[in-house]
Amino acid sequence: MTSLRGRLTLLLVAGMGLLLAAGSLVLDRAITTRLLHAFDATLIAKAKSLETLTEQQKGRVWLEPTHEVMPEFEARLGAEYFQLWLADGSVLARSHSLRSGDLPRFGGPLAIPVLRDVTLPDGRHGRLIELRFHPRREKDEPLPDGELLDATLAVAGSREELDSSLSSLHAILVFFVLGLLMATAALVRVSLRVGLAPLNDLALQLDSLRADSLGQSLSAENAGNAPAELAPLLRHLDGLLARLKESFERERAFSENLAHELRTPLAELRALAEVGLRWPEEGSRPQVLAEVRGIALQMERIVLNLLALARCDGNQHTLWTSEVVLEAMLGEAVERCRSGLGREIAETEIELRLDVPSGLTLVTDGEKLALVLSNLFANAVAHGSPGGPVTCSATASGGEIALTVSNPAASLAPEDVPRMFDRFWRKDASRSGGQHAGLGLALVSSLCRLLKLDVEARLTGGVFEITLRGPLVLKET
Amino acid sequence: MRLLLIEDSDRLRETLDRGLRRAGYAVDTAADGRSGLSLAMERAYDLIVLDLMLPEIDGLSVLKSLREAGRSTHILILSAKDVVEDRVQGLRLGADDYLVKPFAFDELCARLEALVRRSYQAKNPTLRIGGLEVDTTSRRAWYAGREVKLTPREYRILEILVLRAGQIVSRRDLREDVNEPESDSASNIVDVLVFSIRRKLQEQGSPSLIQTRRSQGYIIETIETSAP
Repeated sequence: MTSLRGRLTLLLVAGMGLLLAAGSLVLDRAITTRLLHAFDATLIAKAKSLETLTEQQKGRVWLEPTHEVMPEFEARLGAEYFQLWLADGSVLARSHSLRSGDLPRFGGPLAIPVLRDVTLPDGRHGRLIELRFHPRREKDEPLPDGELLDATLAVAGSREELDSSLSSLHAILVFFVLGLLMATAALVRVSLRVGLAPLNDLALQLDSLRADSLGQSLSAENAGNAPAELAPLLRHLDGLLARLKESFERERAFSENLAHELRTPLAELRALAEVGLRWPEEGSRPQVLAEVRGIALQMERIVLNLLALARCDGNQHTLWTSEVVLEAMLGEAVERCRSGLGREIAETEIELRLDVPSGLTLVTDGEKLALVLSNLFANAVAHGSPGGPVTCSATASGGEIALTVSNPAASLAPEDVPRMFDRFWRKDASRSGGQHAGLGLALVSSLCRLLKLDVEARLTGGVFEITLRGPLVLKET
Repeated sequence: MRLLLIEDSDRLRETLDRGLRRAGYAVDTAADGRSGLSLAMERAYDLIVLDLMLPEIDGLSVLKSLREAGRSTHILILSAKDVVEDRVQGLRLGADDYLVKPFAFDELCARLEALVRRSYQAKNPTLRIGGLEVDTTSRRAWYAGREVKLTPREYRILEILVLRAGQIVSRRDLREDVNEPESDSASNIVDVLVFSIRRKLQEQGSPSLIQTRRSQGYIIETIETSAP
């Protein structure tokens, strides 16, 4: 995994290194140029002096003696050199240090000094200035053949001292840059450690979180000491923790409800079996078997509903789309409800009413839509007010169907409506009676999502309505 | 022993009612917290078996109300809620025992018997008075090592008299304990049962342990309880 601290250190040190290298190069170039200019200026000054000592008279050019005024041209180690040529290329004079040797000649333009790096006659690295000039003459001296004589002067000196100074300068700059880089790296590490400490603290805080401490607010706990940059992160983490807590609580409630829904019929079954085994003469066999069957059916309903929900969650349901005549399908669903819940319908005197236009054909998975409607009818019969009608109506418009199942529900409160589609939600907190586990409407919601139907529940004036809407209409006649 | 069963599941309530009656308890039942609390406040029960998730009033509220009203009846919570917090809360509110559904019927009976013994400060399931030995676990009785064959109702009468040895037990209490609370007060069912017990004890060589107190009830005078 990439280290934030490592990346920042690398970037900062590399950036600093580049800046230092560029600065050093500029500095080196400036100092080198300045030193070279100073060196060249000295050479030029000497050349000018020699130029001044060169005279012409009566068509002749000569150089006044230099050994007294310019002893650096005397023959000794480390001496400097000069050589003077006439226009015809003959050597007029040369320094004693040259002995019989020659300096290189480049033939530059008149009055413009030419500066070059050269290898001196003694093999040292040097610098040479070549100057072509008209030797000095008296004011009233007539020009021979009407033209001025010219001469070429070359002055050279060793640049070993200059090169040594430049090498020292380079070394100083390199050590300076490396030292600064190391110091920068150390400083950056320390700064990052101190600067990123709140992140480490946050990581430790997150590491210490447990399932039972998800309710805490990181923003509130770090309000005094967290840097402002972390505030958005803390807010997002708080949101995440809240969602996690909600999810855990929902999971726990689901497990508890499931345990209760299964524990109670299991307890019934076990008690029935153990009492029957202990006192076989107690209770008639058909009666006991009918009880066992009832418990098995109750548990089967729970398991099948849970399986259907799990398949919806896992997108394992395949939609088998076909043309479905709504009136016929609803009629069958009502009949199934009447046969399955006949006793409840009779006891509560609930009337099932259909208000559906004939000739309405939908394109959908008829089996799953029928399952949705059966669950809605069963829910309405189970929780509707006794004597009240359960009505199913349908309207179609613009290719969209709206199916509404409504029933009077005096015991429902407005705050119950948003929770009705939660798994295992039951109005009765005691979860009495095993006929309805609270999975029917959750299954309706999941199946409708699969069928691309919007589900809306509302309670208006004591009448509870669930409406399904979606673009399922194929034709209306 | 009078027992009140408060359970909202029809099937479980009916099955336990049947089983507990056969086990010798005089059982009343209630399907919701309100009627259960009402019964528990009106009548004196030896034991209450209480579900927690009940309609009307939940089980913990029933428990709390009973304890606040000074009722010390032994209460066993019988619930599908199995997490430690629920059990701790139930016991802290005054329940004497907690059993999680599903459960073994035998375990329920054993726990109820333990609560009954606790009611009478009898830790040993075997009660002894002279040569009479009553095993509250197997619900059988012996005199001088010979078994006294008793019907369930006869056993219940004998067990109550032994458990309350030294105390006069009224005919009405005995009638309710043998699950005949609705019978006519003039009914001599208790006298008939006591007569039968006396006869069976005498057949095994027992002197007359059960004394009649005119217009008051019956009493077994002396009790001697020993650990095996």
